Amino acid sequence: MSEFCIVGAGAAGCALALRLARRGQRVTVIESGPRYTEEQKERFFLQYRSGRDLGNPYRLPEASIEAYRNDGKVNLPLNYERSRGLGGTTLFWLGNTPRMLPDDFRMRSRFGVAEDWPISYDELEPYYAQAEVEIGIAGTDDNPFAGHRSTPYPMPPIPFSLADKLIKKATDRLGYDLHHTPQARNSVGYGGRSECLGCAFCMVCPSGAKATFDRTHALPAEQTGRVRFLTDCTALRLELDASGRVARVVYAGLDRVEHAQEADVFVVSSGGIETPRLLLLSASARFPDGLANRSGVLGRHLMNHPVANTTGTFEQRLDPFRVIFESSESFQFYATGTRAETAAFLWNVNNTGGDRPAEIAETAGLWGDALLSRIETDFGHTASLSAGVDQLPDPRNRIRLDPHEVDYFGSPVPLITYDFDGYTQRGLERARQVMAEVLIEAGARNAEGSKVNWWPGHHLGTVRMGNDAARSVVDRNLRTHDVPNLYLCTTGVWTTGGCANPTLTLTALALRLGDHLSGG
Amino acid sequence: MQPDSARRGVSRRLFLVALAGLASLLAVGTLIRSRWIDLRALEDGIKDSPRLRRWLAIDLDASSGVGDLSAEQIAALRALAAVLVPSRYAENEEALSASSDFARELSRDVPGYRLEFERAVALLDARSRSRYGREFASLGLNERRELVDDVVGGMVRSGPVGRGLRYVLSDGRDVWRLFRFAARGLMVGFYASALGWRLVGYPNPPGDCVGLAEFQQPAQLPVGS
Repeated sequence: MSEFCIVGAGAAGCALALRLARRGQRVTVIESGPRYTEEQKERFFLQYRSGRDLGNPYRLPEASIEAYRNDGKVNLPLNYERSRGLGGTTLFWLGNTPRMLPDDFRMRSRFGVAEDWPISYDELEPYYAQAEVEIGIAGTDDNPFAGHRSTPYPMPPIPFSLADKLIKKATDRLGYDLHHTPQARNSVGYGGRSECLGCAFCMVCPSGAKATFDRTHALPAEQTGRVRFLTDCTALRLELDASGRVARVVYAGLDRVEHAQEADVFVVSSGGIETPRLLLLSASARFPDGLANRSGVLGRHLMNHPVANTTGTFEQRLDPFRVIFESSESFQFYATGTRAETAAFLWNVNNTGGDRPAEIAETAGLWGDALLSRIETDFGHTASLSAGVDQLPDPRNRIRLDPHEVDYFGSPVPLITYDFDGYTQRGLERARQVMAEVLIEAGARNAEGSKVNWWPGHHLGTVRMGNDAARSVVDRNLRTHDVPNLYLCTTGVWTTGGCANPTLTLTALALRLGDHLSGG
Repeated sequence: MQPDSARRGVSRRLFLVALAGLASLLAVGTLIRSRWIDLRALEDGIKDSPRLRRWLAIDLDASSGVGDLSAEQIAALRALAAVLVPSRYAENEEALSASSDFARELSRDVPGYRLEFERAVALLDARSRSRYGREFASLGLNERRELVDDVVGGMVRSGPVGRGLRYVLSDGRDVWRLFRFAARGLMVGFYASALGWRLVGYPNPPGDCVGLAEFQQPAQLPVGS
């Protein structure tokens, strides 16, 4: 039996810990953030409900622990979309869990762009199925573009909303497909958790219907008696022994006192930003440019899924905001044959079109009866569609250590250089065209496309997977090419981005890694 | 003689300064021409300018901390809320409590809000004493409406001569802050409450956890009920 140490208790860390524990292994997980209590979550929910715009409530009191800096053309707002704490960003996520497409894994072979992953959809498919059961995914097999499935979804889908039904009629007339969004949200009671009660503030799900990995994985992992989570402990660096293996991870709590955790095998699962940062912070005489960075690509090839919205105004009411999750999506322009020239996109119908009454009150410059009149006129007549767009890896998009700014522990903060190119820009333009066409067909008086208005917390590609040690950081089993007992399990291992929300794929990779490490 | 790169740098800076000046003129021109100040556009326009942000005090002063408002301050804020909510709710306890409870919550939880509510009450009291000889909370509803219209209306209603702009860009920062933080806070509290949502036809406000059937159908109440 080996001792394992995982750095980061987000989706990957929690899923891997549970899988290893169930295989009889002992695991220590070091997590920078806290263990949020149910009372804290309830307080967040009540604050949202009272009208507060909390943004991401899962932020650390010591803000400089989460500090970062951008120096590229696009400023990525990292901390709105990532969370430190037991469960990681799943505490806050919306819960969309589509699988990637088989073509996402073979972009070079199929379209002549970027590179192929060293694994295929078929190799990952059994783990997708396991991940869907472990997390609890509601969905149905109505997506004609999806890869093959060996098992049905464990739960029926979340039904279409009022807005979905309106848009669905339009897409049917246009010959486009619109299908149910697979999501980590219980449509029926599942895993000891409630069915979704439509509480409308999914950032803090009060019913427990939304899967968060502190509940779905960390808790059962602890119940095995073989996993311990050290929360509020930030990993500072990994140190090697004389043979070139990782001997220990050095970490510190809020008192800044350093401790060390030794293990036989180390897995860093700290997300697409902090994982390369930790390796860069672990530079040594043996690895002067960062641990496991003989290739020089550590921290490079940062990708995201730029999101653009298109909104339309309708005569009839669409009654938004009764839920905020997304209940329909379309792979029509994701599973496209034009990916050699133009980025693919995955679009969906939002159930949050326009502004809430309170948001209109904030910006109208009116009060009293005049304000109410404005709200009665404006509220609820807007439909909003969003598209997340593919991006190819570009070594200029990267994470480095900031030469000027340090965090709470005195470590350089991540410095992010990020932009997107014409390939993605063309995909964004095409997405806006399609979404406008759909809205007008649905009866909108107008359709207005936005610029990129959202950068989800999909931080991909920074410790990429590949067979060639000169061009990648980890191999097909997520082991670093340079350090034999160091593995990385994060969205950073994506070789290319695809369009799918990454958490389901990440969980599948974590389960696959768990089996690999435990000989399962 | 400067090297080419330096001259190009100077030219670029001059160009950017000129561009920024032109953008400011266009923005001010737009505000003067419009009858109403578009607060969102104004705030969007200044959010990237640290100097304007400081000058207009667009941000909360977090260093002022959190704390409870006094009973007198709450009473004054309820008196203000009665003006800000729809007229038929001006004396409705549910409406006024929704507003003042939210103000109380913001003061306790969000650094800087307590100071803004205190400033708002002080400003209204000062104007009220000057005009009516007594504090704002003691005024009748019509007097309060007149006073608020006089104080805040001057800012948000901009005629061709830019009367509102004078407030914002000269001595109107306190009024700006009153509307931006205190008045908005009270209105958000009302429109985020169950009563506010009923006005747009929702029998159950978001957060009531009534299950998944509702969001598949139109809302059940007539708008404005």
